Amino acid sequence: MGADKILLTILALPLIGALINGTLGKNMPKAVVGALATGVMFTAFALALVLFGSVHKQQLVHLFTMISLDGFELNARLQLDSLSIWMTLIVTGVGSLIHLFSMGYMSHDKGYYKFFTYLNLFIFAMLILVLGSNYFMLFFGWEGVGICSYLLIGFHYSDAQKGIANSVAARKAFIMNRIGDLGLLIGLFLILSQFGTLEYSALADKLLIEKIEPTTWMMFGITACLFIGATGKSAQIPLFTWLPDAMAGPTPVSALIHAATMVTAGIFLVVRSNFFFEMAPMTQDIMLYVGLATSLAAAFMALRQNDIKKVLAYSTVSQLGLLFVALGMGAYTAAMFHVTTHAFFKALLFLGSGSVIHAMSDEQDIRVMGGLKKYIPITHITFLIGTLAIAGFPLLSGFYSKDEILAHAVMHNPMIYGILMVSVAMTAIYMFRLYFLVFHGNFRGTSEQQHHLHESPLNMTLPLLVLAVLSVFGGILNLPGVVMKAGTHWMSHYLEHNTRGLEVIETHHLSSSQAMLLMGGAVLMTLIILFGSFVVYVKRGSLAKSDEELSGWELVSNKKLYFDEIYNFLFVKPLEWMSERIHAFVEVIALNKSVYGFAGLIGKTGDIVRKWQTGVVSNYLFWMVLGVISLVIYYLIKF
Amino acid sequence: MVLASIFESGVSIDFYIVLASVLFAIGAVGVMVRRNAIVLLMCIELMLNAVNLLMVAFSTYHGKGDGQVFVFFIMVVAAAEATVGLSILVMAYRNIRSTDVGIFNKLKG
Amino acid sequence: MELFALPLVFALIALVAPKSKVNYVGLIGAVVSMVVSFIHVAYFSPDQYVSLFAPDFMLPLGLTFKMGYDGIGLFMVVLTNVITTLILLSNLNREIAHNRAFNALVLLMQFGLLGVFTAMDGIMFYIFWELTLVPIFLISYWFGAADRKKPLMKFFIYTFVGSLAMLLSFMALGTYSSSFAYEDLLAAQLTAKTAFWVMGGFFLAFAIKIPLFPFHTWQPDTYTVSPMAGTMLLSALMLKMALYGMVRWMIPIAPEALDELSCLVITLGLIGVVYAAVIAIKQSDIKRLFAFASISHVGLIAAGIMLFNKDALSGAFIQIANHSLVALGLFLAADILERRMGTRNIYDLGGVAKLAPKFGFWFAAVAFASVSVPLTSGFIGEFLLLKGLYNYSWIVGLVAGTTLVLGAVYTLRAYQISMFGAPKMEHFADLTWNEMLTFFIIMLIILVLGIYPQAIIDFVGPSLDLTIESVKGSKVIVQ
Repeated sequence: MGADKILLTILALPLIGALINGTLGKNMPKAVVGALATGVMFTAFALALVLFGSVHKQQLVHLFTMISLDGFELNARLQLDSLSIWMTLIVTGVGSLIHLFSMGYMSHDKGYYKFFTYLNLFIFAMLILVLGSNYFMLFFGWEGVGICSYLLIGFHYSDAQKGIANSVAARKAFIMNRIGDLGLLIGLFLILSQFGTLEYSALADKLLIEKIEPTTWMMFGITACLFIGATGKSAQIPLFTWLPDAMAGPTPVSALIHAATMVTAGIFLVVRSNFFFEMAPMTQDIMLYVGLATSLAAAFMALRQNDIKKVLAYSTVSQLGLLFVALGMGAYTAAMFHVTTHAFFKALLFLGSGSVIHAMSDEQDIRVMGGLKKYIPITHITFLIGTLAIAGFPLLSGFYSKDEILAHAVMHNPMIYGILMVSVAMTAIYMFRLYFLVFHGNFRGTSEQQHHLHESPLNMTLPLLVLAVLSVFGGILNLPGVVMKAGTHWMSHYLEHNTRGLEVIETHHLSSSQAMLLMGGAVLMTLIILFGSFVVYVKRGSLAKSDEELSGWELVSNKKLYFDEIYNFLFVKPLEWMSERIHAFVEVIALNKSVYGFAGLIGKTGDIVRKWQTGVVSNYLFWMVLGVISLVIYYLIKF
Repeated sequence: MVLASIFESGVSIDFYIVLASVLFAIGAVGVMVRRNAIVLLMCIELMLNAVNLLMVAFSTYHGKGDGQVFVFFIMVVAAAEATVGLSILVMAYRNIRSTDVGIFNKLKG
Repeated sequence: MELFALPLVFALIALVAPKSKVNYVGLIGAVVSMVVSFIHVAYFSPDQYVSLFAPDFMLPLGLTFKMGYDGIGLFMVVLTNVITTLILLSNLNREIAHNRAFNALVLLMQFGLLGVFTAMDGIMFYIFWELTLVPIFLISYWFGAADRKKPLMKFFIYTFVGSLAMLLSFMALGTYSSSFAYEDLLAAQLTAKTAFWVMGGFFLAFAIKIPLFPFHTWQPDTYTVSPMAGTMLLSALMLKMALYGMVRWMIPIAPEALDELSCLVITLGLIGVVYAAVIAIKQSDIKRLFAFASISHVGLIAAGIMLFNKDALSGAFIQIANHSLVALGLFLAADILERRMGTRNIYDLGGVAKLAPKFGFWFAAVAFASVSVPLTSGFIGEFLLLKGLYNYSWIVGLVAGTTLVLGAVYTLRAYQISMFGAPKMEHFADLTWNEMLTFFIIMLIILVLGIYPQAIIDFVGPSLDLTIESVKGSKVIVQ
């Protein structure tokens, strides 16, 4: 089978799964539905591995021409290169594990078949996003994942208590994403009007080989628009507030869409468009500072969240900020490396939290958890690994990938390194707080909940274990060249040798001693925070405060820096106000009244004029004679 | 003077025109100012006859007969009109006991 | 001949058909006309002109009675037939007091519309244009809501004034041309000033019918009080007459004034896009909400048409098809809600999706199509239109682009409030087979066009090329 056939099969599998489950799933047993959806995912992953092993140079698979007009052509075409294959591996790999997990997690849900339909559909859209050979295809996938995200966030829309809130969160996510999408779309128009094509390779050729130099402002415009699109999907300031709300969806969804895959679409977009961004240093700077601000702000907000999933959500936002810092510095492969490891440990953490929530009978508040380590040991161990990985504990995957970005920051600007370290430190603080509050201390929930506490079934713990292994060893993919020289930076080389644009970008690496120094500092900091958290939460037994007790910075952190309130005041309320006012004043009064007024005016005129119709014959005759006489006089004078 | 000219050259067309105009004006003014329907009908007859007079006068003046033919038509029509008009009037009188046209103002706007 | 006359025949049959079967007679009539138009499509190659009716005598007033179609015309004919079929299909289980009159009127409407789209003579176009007003007025008047009289008077007078302006334009044109045949009118050489007034007359007629801001005040009221079929005919087909008229008549006949008027029309279109979308955000009457949504969508199409280049026009035709289908779906959904719950207020609804999952699914599908997400024809249409507008001026493109965001806001809000949450009613009957089939066909076409829009582009492309050429040509001559 050629690579193109394999590729089409990979694409078709989730779609077929979605179609079968969507149409027939209602009447099929749950086991069949789940097995089908998960089965196609594992098959797709296996095929992706085949591609990974066999494709070593860029390859295009033309499907059909969607639009062909005078000036341009938009194709349904797929592109195989290192970047798209790598993303396919992440999407199908992490995706299959999460599908497997969902089989257990959603087993009691009535919309079981719908859930798997949406999940498969999401994978399909995500694959279109990463595999398309042009921005048009990317946009298809881009909005497709947005719809699936909408459907899955609002999955429990008819829930008696939370139904409305869930659907509001879904709507918020879709609309904020739409704002970003508008930016992206305008970016597409800019590219199209400037270059006449949306194909990545054609664009790369024009920029890198033909050396076409558009104006600085044009490049700024294009990249800024693309970046706006990325801020929407990847939850950056100012369009990040939807992601924490998106936690209203079922937990596997949060793991799959809102942590591991969809939110990294923005990163993917920038890496894909590296040849544009490399020519727009201004946008790179903006990206860097936006990422930095997001990373800091989100980490700060995560410090005092009490919903286990919200903490992880803000952590995701913060990590994405970190990734944009990396992209802003031109460290594309480092960013992809972190995307990969982040997919591992964040999916692990989310699935772990899902397992915790499952055990706690759908309770998400960490204030009523505690001491869970003896009830759910596997979840405990894997969650601990995930926490250590994200906190940057030595030799775990997050340690390497984060360190890579930090190393770039040192070379770029020590100030940025300093600020990033604050964010990294906060990450460790809130993650250890979460871990200790959930798994250590005494159980604080109701006795009923305690009675129900149980470890999850194998189909839920197995993905946890696999992801835990990946989180531990994921760093091997891109080892820094500290100890040994051979075999290091494997992933960077893999991506660079076969991704347009990346091959020409010089990657700088720190000298060994500098690298050692940085790593040592990071390790030291993590250990100190680990120890400090242990003292505070385990030895002294500090607990999370209730909402009323919060004050000062804790309140601000808990209230997410009041972003939602500010947006409400700045955008939502004025828009609603405008809608009502415009309807009341312009539509009803100015336009409608004036139309009816005009009709009334004609009526009034008629009222006046009709008085002349006296109904008396003599009067009519009088006017007639008068008319005749005046006509006669007029003609007499005229001639 | 006038009489003299009449005796000298016969009745000129001008006299007929003046006479017809005066008759027509009397009729028209009568229609406008009087309210008795019978008088109105009579005034309408007067106007028609003024026209008839003019027709006959011009017919003689031009030495052609078609004007006089028209007069016959008009007389027939006038007779028919008077018949219909009077019968309407009689019906109206039976209903409202009056021939005052001021009362018939159902068309008032 | 059979292409446009069949509905009239079936309208007469419907008038005498037995009452219990008349709905089926109407549907069969529409289906037969649809099949006939498909046969025409099968024998049609996009670059040809097919004459349907061209008597070899010419009346002294310059009337030629010519009828025929090219790609654009046939596209609109097929659209009309498909939409009418769907309207009658969705009405199949609706009990209406005078089913005979109703079906006959819908078919008469179809006849009028087909006449409009195949008329190749100015006066014929005008006659059919006016003919459509009669059935739609009667459908709304006889079968509409209780408070229908005032809005319908407004609708009638509004559109009639517009039509008279168009008639004046035709009369003015007649003095410059030997006959009212389309090609003679095209060849007529107008001075810039005459062209301006001629185009202005057409524009008034079309702007009212579309409707463009600020001529739209009849539209929300009329949509609200009309019965479902009336609203569907108005939004899915009648307004397309005006958009078609812009492409076929208004611009090619008086191209000299295009530059002068395009700025104005694009501005009005854009104001409508934003204005109606903002108003729709807080509407609680679901039919009114969709009416404003319609204003917002068609404003974009009208603005795109005024650019008169092939990208934007192709986008406009895709969007014309898309908007017809989406409007059909949305108003069907609104009618289902109104019929089963007795209210159009979305705040009185809620949780319907749980009780009627099929309806929830199909309504959501149509709602997403209305938000023009990729894979639906709406996305392709809006993509091309926005691209055209963006090339015209980036500010225009940006303002028009807000429709993407605002459209999502009001559509999803309406959907969420009416369908999600805990159910507020005991029982909600799910879709009947004919409603389901209607939704299915709508979505099928939308998806096919969304994935392979080139089908439409190839179909109308050659005719568009010709029209654009003629417009460009006459501009050059004047300059």
